Amino acid sequence: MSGRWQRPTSVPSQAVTYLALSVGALLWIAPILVMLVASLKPDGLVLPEAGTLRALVPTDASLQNYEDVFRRVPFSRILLNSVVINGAIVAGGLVVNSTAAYALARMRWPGRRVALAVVLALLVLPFEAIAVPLFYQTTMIGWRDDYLVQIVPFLASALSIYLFYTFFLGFPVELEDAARMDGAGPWRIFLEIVVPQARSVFATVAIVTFLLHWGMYLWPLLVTNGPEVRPLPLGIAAFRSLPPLQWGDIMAFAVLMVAPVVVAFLALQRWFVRGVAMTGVRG
Amino acid sequence: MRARAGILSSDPRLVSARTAGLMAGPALLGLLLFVATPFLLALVLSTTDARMGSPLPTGFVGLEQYRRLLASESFRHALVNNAWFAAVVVPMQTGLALGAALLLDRGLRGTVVFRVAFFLPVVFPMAMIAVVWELLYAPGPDGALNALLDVVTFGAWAPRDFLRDPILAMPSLIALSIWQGMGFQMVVLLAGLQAIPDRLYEAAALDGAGAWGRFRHITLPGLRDPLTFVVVITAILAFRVFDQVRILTRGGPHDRTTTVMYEAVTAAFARQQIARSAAMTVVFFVLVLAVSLLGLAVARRRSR
Amino acid sequence: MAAIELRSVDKVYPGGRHAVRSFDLTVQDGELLVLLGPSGCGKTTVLRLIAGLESLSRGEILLGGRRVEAEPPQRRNVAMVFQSYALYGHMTVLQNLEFPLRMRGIAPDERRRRALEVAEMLEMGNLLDARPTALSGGQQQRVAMGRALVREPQAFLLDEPLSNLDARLRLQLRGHIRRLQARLGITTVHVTHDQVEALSLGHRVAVLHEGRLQQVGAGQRLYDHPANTFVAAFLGQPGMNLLEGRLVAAASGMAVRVGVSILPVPPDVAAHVRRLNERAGEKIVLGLRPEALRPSPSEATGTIAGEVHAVESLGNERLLYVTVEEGATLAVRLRPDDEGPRPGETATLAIEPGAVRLFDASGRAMDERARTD
Repeated sequence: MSGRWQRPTSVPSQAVTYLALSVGALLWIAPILVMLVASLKPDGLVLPEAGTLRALVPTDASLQNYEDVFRRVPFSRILLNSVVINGAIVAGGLVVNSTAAYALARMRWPGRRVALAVVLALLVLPFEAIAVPLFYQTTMIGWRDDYLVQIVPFLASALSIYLFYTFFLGFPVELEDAARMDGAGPWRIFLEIVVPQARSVFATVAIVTFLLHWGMYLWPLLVTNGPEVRPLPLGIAAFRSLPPLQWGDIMAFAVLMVAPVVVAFLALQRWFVRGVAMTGVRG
Repeated sequence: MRARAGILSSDPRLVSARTAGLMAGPALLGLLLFVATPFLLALVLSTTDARMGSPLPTGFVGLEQYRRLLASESFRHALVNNAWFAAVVVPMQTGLALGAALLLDRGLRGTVVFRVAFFLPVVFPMAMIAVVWELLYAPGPDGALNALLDVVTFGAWAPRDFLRDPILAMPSLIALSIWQGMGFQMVVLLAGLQAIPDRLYEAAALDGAGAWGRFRHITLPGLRDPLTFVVVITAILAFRVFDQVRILTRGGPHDRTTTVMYEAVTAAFARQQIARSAAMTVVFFVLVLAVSLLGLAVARRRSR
Repeated sequence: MAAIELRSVDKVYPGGRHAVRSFDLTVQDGELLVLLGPSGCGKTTVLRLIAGLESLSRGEILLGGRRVEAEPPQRRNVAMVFQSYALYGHMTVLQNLEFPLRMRGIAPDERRRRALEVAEMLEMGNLLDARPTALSGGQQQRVAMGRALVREPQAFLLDEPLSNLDARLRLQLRGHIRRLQARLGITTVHVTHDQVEALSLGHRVAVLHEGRLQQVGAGQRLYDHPANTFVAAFLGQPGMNLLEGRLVAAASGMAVRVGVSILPVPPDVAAHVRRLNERAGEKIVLGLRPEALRPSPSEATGTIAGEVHAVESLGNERLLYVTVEEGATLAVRLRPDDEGPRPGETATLAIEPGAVRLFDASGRAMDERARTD
């Protein structure tokens, strides 16, 4: 690709681009570096050195802060909570939303048009608009402080249904026709013919769902009490308020909580980026 | 022409209602129970004086809650703050994202590294970002940001307590929000840029258009849809701000950083004022809907 | 193995498009019938109606004497080869072949045996582990056919299976299909827009136009005695020449006046047109096949003259295009060694006796021999 909106890229203009990007990127990841470095420093040194270049240098590096995190809070439990909750939301969501979208796209049944209209209408409804009344609903029936209340309300998703729906509409209907002629019923057609050829949309929806729910703070704040079922975002906020205030420990918590996701992101980043771009295309 | 009675009037694709019911049922039920119902409940609650956990009977009060909201200083501050937030974040974040996307679209090698760097904060939970930035915002000359500004302004900068300073609190929250969100916009815009065929640029160059001309006549029109999308999404996100407010400033100092969602949650959670809170979320929804419809109208109008 | 019958079938799509009109057709048990027509004529719709992929608006469909129009495709035991082959891309060829049998609950051993048998019959034994995307067009087509045949269906439907192939492959596979059908004796309906393919393949050909059946019968008979002007012009490369004229009475019987030319109606044609003598003055359409015209030296009665406007050399023959005074262009088929006039020159064309076809003003053949089955 030549320089697109510029003349074909000459070496000086390439250099300028690289420079701009490098400076930008470094500034951009500076907070992450500070966080990483601080997590390795003794607590006493974090604040005093934060204002200097030594904020970027791990003086007296050790893993003490990480040990402290595990000692002060049940971190493994909190991590498990996040994994279980998010895993269930993603997996359950894939099942429930893909089948619904398929029924909407490929079958005729009474009420289909209404259902589709409702799904599309709900696309503009952000979670915050219903967080409080939903909280009221679940509290009134005494449903709080467990995994299910953090999972079940999020399984059905208008966005996921929409993404699947547009995909299934574009799926070559001849394959489904051929399968019908071969004697397959609707479930078979869906599971054996459509799904195996729909890997890209399943990956996209999985990633989008994950990104949307992984950082959930508001809902767990409303419906959980102790650390038993509390997920990571709430965990770090609570940790931050837990005396004594030790920044090294807090930064270690931050690193621990995002490390697995960052690793996954780096490994799958093509999919991540594609998933995000897809929502833009559909939007 | 309609199918006659007695002759086949159903399309063979009409499967048993049972199959369709099994397939679509769970999701539709979920949407009904956990999205539609709370939404309607909010509307209903907002017309009452309900309080959570209160033995007093609840009664219908019409639009009283809304009246009280309009009269409430805190809530008005919240609305203004959200508006400011949107007004600042949307252009700044979009501008940065566009700039980054343009630089990345030049197709130079190794752009993947930069893309990762810019996108990384998107993967981080806002709660974690808030906590990390709190460290950066540490008051006193040792605080990272204070020190940086001191250097950059050659000593003209006096250290501030960013999160408790009435003037700086909001911009502080805005900065970290931009930091988190820019990557998302950048990826969408980059995809949009890469979808513009090289041929258009070549034709424009042959027609004598310079870099700015090509940008104005090829790039910007080609980006119209992704741009509209990211602008609308970011504007809506600006109204949804909650996590960082709750963790860092609690709406303070003196309501300088309070937002609609923060007020709504505090009213419900800390003060049991569920009806008042419901009214706030209805206002929130109306605002979001207005922005969405505006975006839709813009998108539709220009796609002629 | 069964006959297929369509009775008064209509198909109207929800938007109002009337794709198939009052369609009556019987495909005999064991026959290979070709549905032929231009794009949009409804032939694929008819196929899909037989398959059960579309529901009809009116009428009946019978398979082996049993009414099936209310049954879904899964229950009709017909098999179809789609134009795009519709192979399951994530399965191997063998798995594709076994799929229909698996859907019918056939045991693994039996499945394997039948799949291998079909694979061998179609000479695909070495492709069994490949994925469809790795195969060539011709190979994919054979897999599609294999998948259809493995079920031993009552009827075999082919939707333009040769359209996506290059000319040479098309020729090869055409023969393949014909031999296969003859060997298996399975009732087959083959859809195509290519009339050469139709004429060479089918026992009978059914021509469709705008949703209506125009004529059905053995290919040669349709060629020799088209039932209307559409069929006359559609069959043949180029199709039959059609000239507007008027019936006139002449000394030796009835004739057709075309412009200044008087062309007598040959006796054997006249014998098969009812009350021809009483129809003087009627406006009709005269049909002449390109091979029925020959450049002639003399200008006797029964010839038609015009200016040569183009000559096309096609290797085994030459086509002469002659513009006659009414503005119509006649295509004339010459053998390569026929001298023939050159462009710009005047040509006088003699008509081979018996090759005259008469159509009334509405386009219907006047000859009684031009009927439909």
